[in-house]
Order: sequence, then C-alpha cells, then structure tokens
Amino acid sequence: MATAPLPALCLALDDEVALMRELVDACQREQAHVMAFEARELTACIGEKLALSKRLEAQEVLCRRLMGDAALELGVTPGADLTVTSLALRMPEPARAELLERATCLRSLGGALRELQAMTTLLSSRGADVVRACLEGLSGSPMAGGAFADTYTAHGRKRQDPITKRDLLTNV
Amino acid sequence: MATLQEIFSISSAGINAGRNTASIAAFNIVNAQTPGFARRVSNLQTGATIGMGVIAGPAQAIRNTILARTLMGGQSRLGFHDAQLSALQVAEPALNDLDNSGINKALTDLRSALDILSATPAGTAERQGLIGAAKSLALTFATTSRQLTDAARAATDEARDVVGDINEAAKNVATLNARIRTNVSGEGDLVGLIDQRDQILTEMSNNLDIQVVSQKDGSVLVFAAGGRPLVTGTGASSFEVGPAGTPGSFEIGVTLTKPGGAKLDPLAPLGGRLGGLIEANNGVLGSQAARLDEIAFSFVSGFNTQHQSGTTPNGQPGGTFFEPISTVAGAARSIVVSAAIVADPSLIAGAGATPSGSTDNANFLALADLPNQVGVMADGSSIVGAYDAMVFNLAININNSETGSAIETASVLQIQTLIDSESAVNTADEEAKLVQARAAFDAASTVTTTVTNMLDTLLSMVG
Repeated sequence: MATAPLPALCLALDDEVALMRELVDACQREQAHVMAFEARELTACIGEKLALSKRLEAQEVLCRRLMGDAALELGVTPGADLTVTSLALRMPEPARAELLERATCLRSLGGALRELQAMTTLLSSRGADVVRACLEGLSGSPMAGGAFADTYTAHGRKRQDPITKRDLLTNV
Repeated sequence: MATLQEIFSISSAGINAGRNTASIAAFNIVNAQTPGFARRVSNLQTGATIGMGVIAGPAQAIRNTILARTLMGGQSRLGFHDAQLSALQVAEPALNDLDNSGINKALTDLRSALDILSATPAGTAERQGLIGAAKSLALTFATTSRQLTDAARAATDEARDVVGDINEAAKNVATLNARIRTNVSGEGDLVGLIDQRDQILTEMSNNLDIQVVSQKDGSVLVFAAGGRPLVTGTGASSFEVGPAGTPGSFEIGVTLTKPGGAKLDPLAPLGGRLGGLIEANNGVLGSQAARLDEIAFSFVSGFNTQHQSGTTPNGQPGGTFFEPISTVAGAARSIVVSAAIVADPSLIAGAGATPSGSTDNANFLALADLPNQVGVMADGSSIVGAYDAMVFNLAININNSETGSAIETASVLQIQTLIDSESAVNTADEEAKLVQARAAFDAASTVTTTVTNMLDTLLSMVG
C-alpha cells in the first residue's frame, strides 16, 4: 500500500532531525577530544561523524524525493528551487505548521552544527600546529615547507619564535 | 547556555590543555636518557565549572614507590658486597702463596734448611742457609702484615670518602625537601625536584642502608641503621668515621652528629658500601692482621723455646734464635734473627739437650717440626694450621662477597627493569603519540570540511 506523500515526508524529516541530533552530539564529543588532546578517541569520533554524514546524505535524497511527490500532489511541478519551507507555504493548516516546525528544527540544528564545526576546525588546526612544533622542536628543524609551525601563547596569540628543545625541557 | 565569551574561554582552556599534553610527550622524549627520570603523563582536569572545558593540571610522574624502595634495599646490599669484595681483594695477594712468596713458602724454606742441617749438623754453610731462611721468613711476615694493614687503611680511607658522599647527599636531600615543601602548591617544577631527590636517595642507598618515610608536605625523612635520623625535614645529620674498639686495634666506627650538634654512638650494621667497608676492615682485614701478629708471636716464642732446649756444637745450651718479642701487637713486623747467631752461626743449637755426639740433630728435627706442631698457638692450633685457617677465612669471605654481589646485581637489574617498564620513556611510544595526535587533528579538519559541505546541501533543502 502506498503511503500518502505528506505523512511519509514528515516521517523522513523526523529521521533527518534525529540524525542531525546524533551528528551534533558526535561533534560535541569530537570537540571535547580535540581539546583534551585524546587522539585515539578523536579518531573514533571522526569515524562516527563520517558514518552519520553518509546516512544524512541518503536521508536527504529520500526527503527530496518525498518532497517532489508531495509537490505533485499539490499540483506543483517540483523544480531545483523546491524547499521544505516553500512547500509548507503551499500547504493548508495543520500540514503547513507540521512542515514548518521540522524545517525550523533542522535550521536550528544546522546552525549549531556550523558553530561547532568552525570551532573544531580552528582547534584541530592549532592542535596539529602544536604537535608539528613539538616534533620540530625535537628534531631541531622544520618538518615541511621550510618554516617552523605556528604556535600560540597561553593567551591564544601567535608565538614569534619556534618552540625549541630548550622550551620543551623547561615548559612542562 | 554558554555565552560567546565562555565558549572562547573553553576553547582557550582546551588549547592550553592540548599544548601541555603535546609538550609532555616531547618532554618525555627529550629526557629519555636522563638518569632517574620518571615518565610524565598529562593531568587533564575539569575546569572550575563543569562544562567549561578542560584545564591542564601539573604533569604527573609515573612512579612505583614499592619498587623504588625495593630497589634501594637491593642497591644497599649490592653496595655492601661490592665494597667488601673490593676491600678484600686488595688483601688477597698478601695471603696468596701461589706466586711462591708467601708465609707458607717461607716456612717450607725454613724447614728445608733445618732438614739439610739435620743431615750435616756441623756444616757452616748449612747454618748460614738456616739464618738466611729465618731472615726471609721474618721479612715475609713483615711484608704480609704491612699488606694487610695497608688494605685495612685503604678500606678506612674509602669509608671516609663514602661518608663524605653520604653527608653531601643528605644535605642535598634536605635542601630539596625545603624546595619541594615550598613548591607543593606552587607552579614550580615539583615533579623534577622529586625526580632529583629520588635519584639522590637511590644513589645514597648504594652507600648506606636507609629507610625513607614520606611526609604529607612532600618532604621525606631518611633514617640509617638503628633508626638514627639522617635527614629530618630540612635538617641533615652528618656521619664521621673514627677509631672504635680497644685503643690500638684496627676497628673503625661511625658516629652521627645530628643537625643540632648532638652526637650519637657508633652505629652498626650500616649496610651499603659503608657497611661493607667497615665489615671488611673490622671483621676481616683488621682481625687478619691481628691474627698474623699472634702467629708470629707464637712462632718466635715456640722456636726460641725449642732452640733453648738444644745444645750448640760447643756443648753450650742454646740461646734465643730470634730476638725475643714482648708483645703480640706488631709481632709480625718485629721478627729479627738474634744478632749473636748472625755473628756466630755456631751458636745454633742443633743437638738435643744431652748430645749424643757431633751428629746429634735432635733439636734440628724438633725445630723443623715446630710449624706443624699442634699446641704452639695459644688456642691450641699449629702455626701452619692457624695460617691456613687465615687464608681460608679470607677466601671464604671473598667468595661470599662475590656470590652476594652476583645475586644482588641480578636482583637490582630485575627491579630496575620492572621500574623501567613503568617509569622509563619509550621514545617510540611518545613519538607515536605525537604523530597519532597530528594525524587525528588533520583528519578532524578534513572531515569537518566534508560535513560542512554536506550541511550546506542539507540546509539548501530546508530553505
């Protein structure tokens, strides 16, 4: 028996929201591992994030197909500019409210995810710089690119000089 | 919900924690070959407010106190056997007759000279031969005595050096105690100071058997044998080596002066190198030198008595063959053939108390038998028996020290291996940690970009 397009779309969007929540959760844990310098746990978290993003991609394809079905039922030809919001605005109440609620939820989760991602990117790149600087400090020479890695002071400012073996001996 | 400022504060705390962790891995690698260095691990803690990120507490060193104490015990026993062995080995050549120059050889030569004389009792050359053998024996006794005394003196001198090292180490431990006390709640290199103190204590345990008691303020109390305080907080006692036992004896002892100036009685047994040297000096070398004096005294007395019971070729009763020795102490260096006999060998009394003619050699035979005669020594043994017992005693002591040293070396090595497995730095591990961390950070950046792209597509669908 074929499912009506709107309820099916709502269910698919609910699944999308659940996956987004899982991804936000994974990103929060990832950030904690980045900050705590826990390489092994970080690697596991990255794997989890990759798996979740693949599931999200598949779910997005399903949602787009169901959105097309729902549009056709409304007598609208689905185009590239079709969005959940634009579809909702063509729906009567209470279907409109149901779709708009899910769209708002997804936008909100997306915003949180963006912030988390931005912070993680910054922390990861600085973490990688610190490790590179330590390895360079140990070897006494830049590892790649002919220049020592950037490192940062305790206040987050860029250090002027590279980390030396002497720093490593005295800073711990 | 966290404010923006709080969010950046969390990031900053995380970056600092991360830098600290990476620095520790690098620090471990740099110090991999530093003696006494205990591997550090990062100590990440929750910040003052839960949810506000992690902060890096002071790095912690991986130490096993029980193994460290066991190592100290092993070091002490090893030091004892090693020091005793080296001290006794100095004396070994003095009592070793394998090179044909010892007292046994000299006694055999004397007996050979007497045997020759007993075949030709009137022979002048043979009488000169006996005097030569007696002089050689006297010289050998004196040389052996000097070698034993020199070995004892060397052990005493080394004991003084060791005491100097112990006193210096005790002072350093007291100084480090003071620095650790003031650093317990501070930001200084507390772990490094503790490493330094542990290394000194381990080295000290090789010189002396010590008991270490940790205090709540981070300092340690160090006690020597008999619970005598060596380090109490920031005060250090000092040892001093001095003569002990009866005046004129070889014995040495150690007195302890407390930080306040009060002196404590000599201590024993001390363990460690100091204990081994004192044991070698008092228990073996000193007593061997004293025993050699007893043997020399008994030999000279017995030989003179036997000689005096004989008759010279002129029919006169024999006089003293060796100059009489009045005291046992120093007898081994005081043996001198009678000046009268050296001047006139015909005064050697080879015949019995009632001569049966010019071929009477009864006293020569009795004198030749004297070294093996039981009862000559005050304790009832013979001269040769007493000397052999001396040689045997030294050999046994050397053997015991060698065995003890070998056992303790293996034991210390095993404990050290256990400690290293916990506390030593595996540079490959630490480098792997850094490389693994770097790879994880790179991966995090890459995956984050991928997820962001996916997110853009998703949000374009939402509108």
